[in-house]
Amino acid sequence: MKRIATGKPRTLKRRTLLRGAFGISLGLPWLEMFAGPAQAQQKDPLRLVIFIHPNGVFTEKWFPTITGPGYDLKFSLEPLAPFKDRMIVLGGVDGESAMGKAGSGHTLAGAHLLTCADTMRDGKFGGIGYANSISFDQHLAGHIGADTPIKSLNTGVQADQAASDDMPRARYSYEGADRPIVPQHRPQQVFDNLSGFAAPAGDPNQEAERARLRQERLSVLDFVQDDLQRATSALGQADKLRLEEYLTHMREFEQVVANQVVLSCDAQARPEDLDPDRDENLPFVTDSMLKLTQFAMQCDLTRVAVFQINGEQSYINYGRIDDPILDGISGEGHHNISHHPNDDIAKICQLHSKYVAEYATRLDSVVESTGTLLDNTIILYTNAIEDGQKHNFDNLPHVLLGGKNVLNTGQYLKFDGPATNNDLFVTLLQAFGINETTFGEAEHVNGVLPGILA
Amino acid sequence: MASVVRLSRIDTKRIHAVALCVFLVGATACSGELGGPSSADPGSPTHMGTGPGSTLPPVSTEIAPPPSALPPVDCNPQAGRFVAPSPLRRLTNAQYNQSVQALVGEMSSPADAFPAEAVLGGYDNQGASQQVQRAHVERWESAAQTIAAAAAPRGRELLKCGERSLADCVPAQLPSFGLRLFRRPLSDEEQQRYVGFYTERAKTATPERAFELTLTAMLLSPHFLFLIERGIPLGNGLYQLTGYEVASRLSFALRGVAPDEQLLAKAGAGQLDTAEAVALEARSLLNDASTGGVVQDFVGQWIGLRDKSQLPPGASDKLAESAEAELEWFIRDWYGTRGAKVSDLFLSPRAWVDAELAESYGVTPPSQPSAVDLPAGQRPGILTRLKFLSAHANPPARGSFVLSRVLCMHLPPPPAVVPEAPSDNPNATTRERFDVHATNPCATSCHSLIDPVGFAFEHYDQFGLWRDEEKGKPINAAVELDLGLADVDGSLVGAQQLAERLASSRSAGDCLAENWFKYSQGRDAKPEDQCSVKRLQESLARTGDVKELIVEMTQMDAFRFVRKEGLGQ
Repeated sequence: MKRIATGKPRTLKRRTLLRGAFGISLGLPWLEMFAGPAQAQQKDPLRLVIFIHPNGVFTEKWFPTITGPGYDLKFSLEPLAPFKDRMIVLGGVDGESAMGKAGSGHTLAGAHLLTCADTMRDGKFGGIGYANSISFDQHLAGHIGADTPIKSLNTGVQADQAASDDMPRARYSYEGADRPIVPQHRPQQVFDNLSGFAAPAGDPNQEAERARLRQERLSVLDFVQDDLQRATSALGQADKLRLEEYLTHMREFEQVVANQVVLSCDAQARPEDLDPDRDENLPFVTDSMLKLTQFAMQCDLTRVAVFQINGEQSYINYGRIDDPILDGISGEGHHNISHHPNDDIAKICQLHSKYVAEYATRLDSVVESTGTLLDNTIILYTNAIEDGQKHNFDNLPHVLLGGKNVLNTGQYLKFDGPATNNDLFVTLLQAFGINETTFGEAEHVNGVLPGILA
Repeated sequence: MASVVRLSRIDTKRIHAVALCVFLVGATACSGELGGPSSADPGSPTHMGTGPGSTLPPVSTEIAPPPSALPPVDCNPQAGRFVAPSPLRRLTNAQYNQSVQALVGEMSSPADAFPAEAVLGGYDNQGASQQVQRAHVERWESAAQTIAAAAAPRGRELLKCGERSLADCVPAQLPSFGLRLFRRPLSDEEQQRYVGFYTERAKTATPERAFELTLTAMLLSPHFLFLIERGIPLGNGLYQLTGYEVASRLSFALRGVAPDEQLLAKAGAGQLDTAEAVALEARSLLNDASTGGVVQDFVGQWIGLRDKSQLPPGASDKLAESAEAELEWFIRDWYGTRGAKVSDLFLSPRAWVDAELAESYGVTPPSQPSAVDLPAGQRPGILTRLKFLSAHANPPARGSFVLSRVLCMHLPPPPAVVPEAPSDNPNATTRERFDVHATNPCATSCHSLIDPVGFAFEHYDQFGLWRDEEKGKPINAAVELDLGLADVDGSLVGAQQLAERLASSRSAGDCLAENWFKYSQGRDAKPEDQCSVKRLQESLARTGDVKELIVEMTQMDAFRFVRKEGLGQ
């Protein structure tokens, strides 16, 4: 991959505006961000990146002892030391919406983390327990994603693994009730998708050719929608709904294709073709996905991203991963180890923290109009349960990083009173300038969490 | 359905009492799955309370719907057709790959890039879980483009244009190509629309490109991706499937691929319109080697072939691969060579063994991988193979598998907040650790059904290796089963006797028949399907032969008839 984190302002060729499929000229609100600090007065957009790792933490090696600005970093958070003043370690924030609901620990954990709602199971055993409500990332993307070609970028390591029975496993993001987003798990696929939005600007002939191809592509999508509408006539009610699901997604997809534009962001090298499902390739997939996420943010292809390590009950065998942090670790699967939170779990968490730190370092090397890309990004580093043995939803291990202009960073902020995930997301909405007072199930909302916002 | 058939024959009250904190197969978070002996944590409490700071949420103690939702009906065909509504199914990723391959030739499994199938009730082909998500649309489109681009240069060959140019032959030949793709003739209106689309595109593109775009659209059509069944209305919401729809069901259920030209031709000639004709066709398809692939997939999913295994520390990937390959080979051997008898599934000692597996199984390492009989009394049938035992590594996991998958007893999910581990006494044997279930308050209500079945597997450690003693104490695999199933209950010692008990029981056969219904129909059997399920179960009880079960499937009401709701007549 060509380095995009050069730390120097880069001059980009002015890209050509392409006509959309319906003859509408598309605006490019992100043009200015490449202009460099010298000439820019434009305010940089604020982005959100959620980094989810599964199976809980070893609490005594995660949560600081000292609260406030003079807080201490325990073993699992040590790699984040360079960012100690630029992050908030949170304590006492509860996934209250998952408490007391029917289902097993990991089922509820995955579905509730970003939705603060319930699963679709409605107390019954038998369906896939997807969440019954929109997740925070998608809700936020509804507000701030409209101006970018991609509403959100959802990727992960082995995050494609199938949902199973009452277990959504790797499904944290939801467009709405029962509408999970399947994260992309192949770096090459993500690259190819992004390239569709970020093809290098060539000569005018090439661009005319691209426009023609897109036109043809849209004619196909249009025709299929017609097919779908006609096909429902012979179907019973439930089956109609299934084809309507297809139709709805097809319409949205058509819009995405129609709104494609050509950017001249730095070309990226296509990631290697390593098997993304092999445990030993976790570092490669993580690195590739986070670089692609950075690329998408830097070029303003999207402002919301979720990256996840596997999903609930991840069975990744960290014994197969080559990293000195993991020296001496058990060769059992992550989930098995997590049932006895101990030093092995602390090491796994330290590895994840290292990835977050590397990502933050790279974001920090990209200079934008007002500060660095890290300053203009809020990273939420989180886990759906606190402890892998208890599967408990209280005191979730959240860390906020970046967001210089909106967050009161440099502290361990521990809440003794009621503080819920709902509140955390209401607070983050405020950080994004969205003045909403509720998110998820209303009975778990107390309001903006004091002390987080700058 | 399990509830209908099974629970009518067992004491449901017992099960309700037991259901409290049961452990769910493969998935779970119950205490049983907590660490193996290696994860000792001396000093931690052994009580099974809730974790601090959490309250135990209400857990359903109901097992599936009440069994008596419908009174037993007269299953004589004269009394009417009984069938529950079946949800719309789409091609599974495997079926997509196979069908595309059959249609346009060599393709590199385009559906492998689709989202992994959701698994419902153990199977990845259930209509109820085949949601369409954003990622499906993106990846279907990408695959359709790739396939069409690869196929278009051979357009004349695919369309059977003969001497004609592509431009000349598309309008004439597209309908017959569409018959293969949609597995039924195109209506006049559809012919006009698809040919019209081609003609429109061909105004600005080459004929080849226009055909490519048309093919892309057809591959994205719901008529290709979904098994849409219109049927012939018989009144009261009941429909008989058309010959073409029967051809699709037959071909996907028996061969895992869309019907070929011959089968479609038979459908078109009315040769699949009667039950007798369908049975005949099914027998002829059964002789096709590819039927083995479907049964392989069915039994593989039933036994959890893709579940993650625990391997001994330091074991190579090769061992995991060998163990999985051995189980696959076992199924193939059982179905293809040994005659597909249910009893043999539980008892066959045959194995495909390489050097590494030989060591694990305690047999002489062969110079070449080869078929051997494993030591008598140690490795009967499918439930004693390394892959199964290492994927179900402890007594509750093994017990709950047998109960739920082999005997179709429905267990509710485990509790959200998990109790403490059974026992972390480093000197305790596996059985002693899990016997804690019998001495704490949860025990009588949770694990009294599950654990005894699991303890019958005590001669296998968590990795599936044979042992005669553990921690210096002799293995105790003697158990007393009291499941409310007369043909399974009683005392027995070890997996060999358990396998013999299962092999001779009607209960295990009935359950396998139910599983086959679920897998082959892509849905749960409902009370309205009771005649269909009974038909399968009686066939299997009579013949003990899974091939006969497959033929019998084509004769049940649920195979050739459908019920639609919300559509009037």
